[in-house]
Amino acid sequence: MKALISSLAMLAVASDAAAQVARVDESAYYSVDYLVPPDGSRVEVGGMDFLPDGRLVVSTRRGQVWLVSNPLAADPKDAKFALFAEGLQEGLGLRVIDGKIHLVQRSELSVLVDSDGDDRCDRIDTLCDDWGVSGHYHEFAFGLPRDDAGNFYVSLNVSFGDPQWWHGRSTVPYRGWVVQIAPDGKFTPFASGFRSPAGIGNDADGEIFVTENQGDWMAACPLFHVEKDGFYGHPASLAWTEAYQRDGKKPTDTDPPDVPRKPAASWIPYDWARSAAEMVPDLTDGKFGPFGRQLFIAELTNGLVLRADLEKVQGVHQGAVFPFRQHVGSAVRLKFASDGTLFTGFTDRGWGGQAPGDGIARIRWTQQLPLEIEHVKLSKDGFRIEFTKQLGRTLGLIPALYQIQSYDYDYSWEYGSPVRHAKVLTPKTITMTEDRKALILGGLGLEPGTVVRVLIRALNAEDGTPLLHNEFAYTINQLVDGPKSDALVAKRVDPPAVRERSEEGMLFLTDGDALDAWKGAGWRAARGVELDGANPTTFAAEFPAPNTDQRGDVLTNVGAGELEDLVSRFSFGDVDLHVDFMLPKGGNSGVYLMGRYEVQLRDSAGERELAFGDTGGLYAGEGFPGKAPMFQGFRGAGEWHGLDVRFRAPRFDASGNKLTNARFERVMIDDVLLQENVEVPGPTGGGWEGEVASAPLRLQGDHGPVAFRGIRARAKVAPRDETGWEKVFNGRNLDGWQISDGGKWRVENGTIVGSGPASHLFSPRGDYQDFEVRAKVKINRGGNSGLYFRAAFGPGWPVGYEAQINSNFPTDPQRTGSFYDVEAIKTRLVPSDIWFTEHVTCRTVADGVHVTIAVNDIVVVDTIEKERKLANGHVALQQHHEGSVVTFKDVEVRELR
Amino acid sequence: MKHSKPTWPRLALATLGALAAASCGSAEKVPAAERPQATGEPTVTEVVMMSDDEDEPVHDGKWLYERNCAGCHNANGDGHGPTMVQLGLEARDFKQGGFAFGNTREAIYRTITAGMPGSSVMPSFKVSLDEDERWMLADFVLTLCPAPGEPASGTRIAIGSHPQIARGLLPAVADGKPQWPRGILLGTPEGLTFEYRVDDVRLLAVRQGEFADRTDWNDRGGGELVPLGKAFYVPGGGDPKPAFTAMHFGNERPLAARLKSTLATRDALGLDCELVDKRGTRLASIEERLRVEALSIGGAFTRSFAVRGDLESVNVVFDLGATHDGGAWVRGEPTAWQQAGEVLRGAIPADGWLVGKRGDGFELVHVVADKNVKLVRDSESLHLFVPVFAGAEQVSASFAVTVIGASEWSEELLATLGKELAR
Repeated sequence: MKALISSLAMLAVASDAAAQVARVDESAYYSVDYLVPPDGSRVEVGGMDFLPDGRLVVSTRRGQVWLVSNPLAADPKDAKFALFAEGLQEGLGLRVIDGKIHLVQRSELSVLVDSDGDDRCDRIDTLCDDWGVSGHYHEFAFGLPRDDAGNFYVSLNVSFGDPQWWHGRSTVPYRGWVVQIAPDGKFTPFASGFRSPAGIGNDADGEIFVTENQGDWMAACPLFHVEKDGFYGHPASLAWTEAYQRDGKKPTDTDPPDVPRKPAASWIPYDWARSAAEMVPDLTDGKFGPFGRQLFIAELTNGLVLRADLEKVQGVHQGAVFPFRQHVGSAVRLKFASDGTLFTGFTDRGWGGQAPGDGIARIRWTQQLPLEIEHVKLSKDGFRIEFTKQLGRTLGLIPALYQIQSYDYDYSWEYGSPVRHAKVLTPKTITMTEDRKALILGGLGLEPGTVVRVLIRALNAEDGTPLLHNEFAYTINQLVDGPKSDALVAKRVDPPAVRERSEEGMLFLTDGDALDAWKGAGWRAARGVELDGANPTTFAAEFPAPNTDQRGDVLTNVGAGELEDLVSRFSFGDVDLHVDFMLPKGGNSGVYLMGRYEVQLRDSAGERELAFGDTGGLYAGEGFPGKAPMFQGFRGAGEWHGLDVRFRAPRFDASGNKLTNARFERVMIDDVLLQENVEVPGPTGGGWEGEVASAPLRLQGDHGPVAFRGIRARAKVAPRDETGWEKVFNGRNLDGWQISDGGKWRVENGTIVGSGPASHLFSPRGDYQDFEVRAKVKINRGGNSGLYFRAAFGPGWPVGYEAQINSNFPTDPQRTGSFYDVEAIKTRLVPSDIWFTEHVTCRTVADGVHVTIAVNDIVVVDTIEKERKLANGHVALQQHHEGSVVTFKDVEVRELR
Repeated sequence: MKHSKPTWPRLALATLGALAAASCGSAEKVPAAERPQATGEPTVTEVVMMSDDEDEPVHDGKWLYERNCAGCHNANGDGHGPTMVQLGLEARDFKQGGFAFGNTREAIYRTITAGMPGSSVMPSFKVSLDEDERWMLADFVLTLCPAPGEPASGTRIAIGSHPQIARGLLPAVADGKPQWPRGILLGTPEGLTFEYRVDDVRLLAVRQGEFADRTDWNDRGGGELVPLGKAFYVPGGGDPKPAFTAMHFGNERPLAARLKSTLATRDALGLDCELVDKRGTRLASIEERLRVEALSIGGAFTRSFAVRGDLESVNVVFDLGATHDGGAWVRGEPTAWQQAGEVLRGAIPADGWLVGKRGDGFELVHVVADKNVKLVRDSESLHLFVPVFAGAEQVSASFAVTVIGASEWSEELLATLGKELAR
C-alpha cells in the first residue's frame, strides 16, 4: 500500500493532474434549486407529471394533489402551488394522459376530474381497485408507468408480521406484485417476488423497471427489469400465483422457494442506495447533458440522485450504476420537464433521509461539460469505459489507479446481505482508444453473477478537468462471450437458523444503567450527543437530569478530565459485535476486540487513499502491516455509524500454546463490507500484551472525544462437551415438581409458564450440590423472576441462591444475570419478551461457594460467595408477582464431580 | 377506542321548541302557551332578553347575539349561558375557537342557518332571522373567538365551504366490528359525515361533528382516517347488510357493489357504483347523492338514488336498513295512517312515512319515489323494490330516503316536516 501511495504522489507531481484528488463540486455542472410550497404545507411527494398547459401536477403522501403553475420560472419562488384535490388515500404515482390526471392511491387507481373547470377536482373515478389492502401500514402502492398499449403498471408492497417484523407478508391478493391495469380498468397480475418496490417506471425503450429496497430476500437495492410472469425473489407474493393456489402451497418465511428468479439489471451498492425509488430515462435530447437515454434514480436515505447506464448482453439487461448528484434531498420521485429540468420530489417521513425531507427541487444542467464516465460497456473479460471528454495522455494507463473488486450477495430471509466473496481484480491490460475518450480494461477474470465495483483513483481530461465521479458498480449477469449463464448475484444459501426475533441471543451492553457494564474514568452516559456547534472537534452532550429516572444510553468521554479507555465488565471470545459510534471533527478512536485487536475509527471523511489508520482499517502491529478498509466507511463527523464485527478469538491447546491466530472474519460499517477474513498474528498497535482465549472489549477513549451506543454482542460458542446434562423438566408436565404458595404454573407447548401471584416451582430433586443448571427463559415487560439453586423448599421467598431474571421491573435495579444480593448487574442485558439462556455453575470451594452466571453464553458473574455458604438444595423457578409472566424451557442440570 | 351507543337527540321536541323560544328569541314561532313546562321556571324567561318591540330596528350583531344566542352561549361566548346551566349542558365555547364545522364566517353562517343536525340542541335560525341578520350574527360571533389560525391543525382536517371527501383506513364503527382498509368519509359543511366502506359500497354510519383526523399523516403512513363526529345513525350496528340486491328473472342473485366514482362539488355530494354479479357482469348502475336537511326540529339527512338497469331482466331491491331496535314500523300516507305493528302485505306505493322506535326516541323515515318503486316487507326488514326492467325496456328509477331523529312523533309533526322537506 505504501508503495502505491508514493507512486501516486510522484505521478501527481509528474503529471498535470494536481487537482485530481480535490473534492469536485457537482454544482458547477448540475445546479439545484427548490420550489417554495405554500406556508404550512408539507408537500411529501408521491408522484409528478405535467399538464398539457405546462403546469406541474404533484401528488403527495398526504393524499393531496397540487397544481404548480410556472414551474420552470427562473426564480423558483415564482412557481405557485394551488391545491387541486385532497382527502385521497396517499398518492404515490401519478400520470397525466390526454390532460387527465391518473393517480395511484393506496387503495385504487383513480382518475381525478375537474368537471366544472375551476381547477379543483370534484369527481374521482375509480379505474381499478382489484388488489387487496389489509390495513397494514406498509402496503404502499406505487406507480405509474405505461407500456406501448397504454396499460398501466402499479407495484404493491408486502406487509410485515409482528413480532417477526422483518418477514414480509402477503395476506391479501397481489401484495408483492407488479400488476397491469388496462386502459379500461382490466386487472392482470404481471410479475411477483417484490418486497418494497418503491420506484416503478419506464426506461428509454418503454420497458418496465422497478427499484427494490433492501430487506428480507433483498440483499441490497436492485434495479429490476420487470417481465411478465417473472419472479424477483421475495417468496410471500407466490401465495397468489396460479401454481401455489392450485396446489394449496404456502410460501414460508424462511425457506427459499424453488421458483426460478429473474436477475437484477443492476445491484446498487448499499453505501449509495438504502432506499431507492423512482427512475426516469433522459429523453431530453441533450438538454440535461451527456447522458441521453440513461436512467436517473432517486435515492431517499442518502439524499441523492444516481445514474444507471444499462445494456443488453446475451439478451439480458445489465449495466453500471454511478453516483450522479449528491446533496439534493430525500429524493423519491423524478420527472423531466420539456426544457430538460429534472424535477425531484422529496419525502423522508418515517425513514429519515437528507434534508430537505419534503418539497420539490429542480436539477438543471449548467451547460458545463463535466469529465464523467459516460458509458461502461462489458467487453471480453473487461470493460470499455467511455468518457465525456478527451482524457489526458498517460494517467489512465497506470494499473495502480484502479481499485477493482468483485463480489456477490446471499439470497435468504435475513434482512439484507453483506457483500460476499469479495475479490480484488487487477487488469492485465489497459488500453486507451485513439481518440482518448475511452479506456479498455482487459484480463480482469470476470465472472457472471457478480457485481464489479471499479474506483479510478485519479483521472483528468486533456483540458485538466478532474473526473467528477470516479466510481461505478457493474452487475454482470452475462459475459459477452461463452455460454449463457444462470448464475445470479444473490446466491441461494442455506437459510440462517430461524430466530423468533432478530435480537435473540444478543447481550445488550448499553441499555438500562449503561455504565454498569463498563469501566473507565471520565465516561458518562448521555441522553444524546451532537457536534458542538461552536467547536466541531468536540461534542455537546445532554446528560440525564439528576435525581430523575432519566437514563442515558450514549457512552461518551466528552468533558472528561482525564482521557481513558472504556473497558467492558465482561469478557468475550468469538463474538459478533455491533457498536454505533460517532466522532467529532478530527476524531480518533478504535474498537479493540479482546482489548488487543483494533478496528480503527477516525475522521477519515473525504480520504480517497484509504490506509489502515482510516475508519474500518485494522491497525498495524508487530508482524502485521495493518489492513486498509476496502471502502470509505466514514460518512462524516457528527453522524452515527453502525460498526459490525465478526471476530474469531485465537485458539490455544491445553498447555496454552496458540493453535490459530485471531481473525476478523468480517468488518462492516453501515452494512458495507470493509474487511473480510483478515488474520491478525498478534495484538495490534496499542493493544494489551499477550494473547488469551477471552478478554474484555476495549473502546479507545484516550485520543479525544468519542461516543458509543447500541453496543450488543452475540457470543459464538465453539462446540463443547455436552455430555452429562439431564433434563429436569420433561417438556410435558410438572410431575415431581413442587409448587409453593399455590401459584399458577402450567405447561404449554413444551414450556413452563409461571403467572399469577408470587410462587416458586421447585425441582423434583433437592440435593443438588456442585452442579450446573441452565434454561432458556423469557420474561414479560415489567416481569420479575429468578433461577434459584441450592434452594430449600418452603413458602415465601426461598432460602437459596438466585440468578436474577428481570428486564425492566421498575423497583428492582438488579437485572437479569445478577447474583441476587451478591453481585448486582444494573445494565439491562436482555430485553423483555425475548428468549435468552441463563447458565449457572455452583461449586463449593475452600473459602465459600464458587458461582458463575452466564447470560446468552457470556459469563457475567464469576465470584465466590463467602457469607451464606449454602450447602445444597433444589433448583427453583420464581414467579414474582401478579402481572409477571415468565416462561422456561430446556431446564437442564449437570452435576460436577 | 371506546365506542358509545349512538343516540338521537335526548331532548323532547317540546323542549327543543322551548329552547328555541326561550333562549333563541324565535318567539313568534312558538306560542307562549307552549313554552316549556319542564324548563319553564321564571328564571329562564327572566334571563332571556326578548325583543319588546317587533318593529324595533335591528342594530347590529351584538344586539342580535344577546337576543338569540346568549341564553345558551352566554354573553361572553363561553358556552355557559343561563339556559345551559339550567339544563346542565354546555353550549359551544366560542372563546376556545373549537367550532364543530369550522370558524370561517361562512361556516358560522351555515351553522346559524341550519342548526346542528343530529345530536345537538342548536336549532336552525333560517326562519326566525333573515339572511342579513344571520350574516351580522356570524360576524359578531367571530369577534368572540380567537383569531383564525390554520383551518386544520396537525392531522385534523376540517370542512370548508365545500363538501369534502376523504379516503382511508376506517376504524371499526363499533367494538367488535371490522376496520375497513378502504373507506370513504363524505363530509358536509353542515357538519354531517357519511361513512362508507368501499368494499361492496355500504353506508356504515352517519356522524355529526368535526370531520376527521388523518393519522396516516404521521409516522410512515397507513394509519387510520378517524372520523371525529359522533355516530348517530349506524345501520346494522356497524356491520350493515348489502344495500342492494338484484332480482334477475325474479330470482335473487348475489351481487356486489363496486365503487365507480365519488363526487363533491359546491352543490352535490355523493358516490356512484355498479352492481355486478359474481362474474363481474354489470347489472345496474346507481348514483347516490347525499343532502343535509335543515328542519325545524333539528337536522336530518337525505340519500337520493338514481338506478339504471344495465342488463336485461334485472330489477333491484334496496334495503331500507332499519336501524330501529324495538317497536314496529308503521307506514302511512299523509292521509291514511296505520298504527304501529300493522303488518304490511305485498308491495304498496313507497311514498310516505315510516316510523321506527329507536332507543328512547323515534326514527322518522320519509320516502319519496317514482311511482313504480314499491315498498315490500320480508320477515326482517323493509325494502324498496326498484324496477329498472320493464318488459323489453330498460328504465331508470329514482327514490329518496330522508332519515330524521325525533324524541316523539305525531301525524301533525310528520305533516309539518313533509312540508319543510318539500321546500
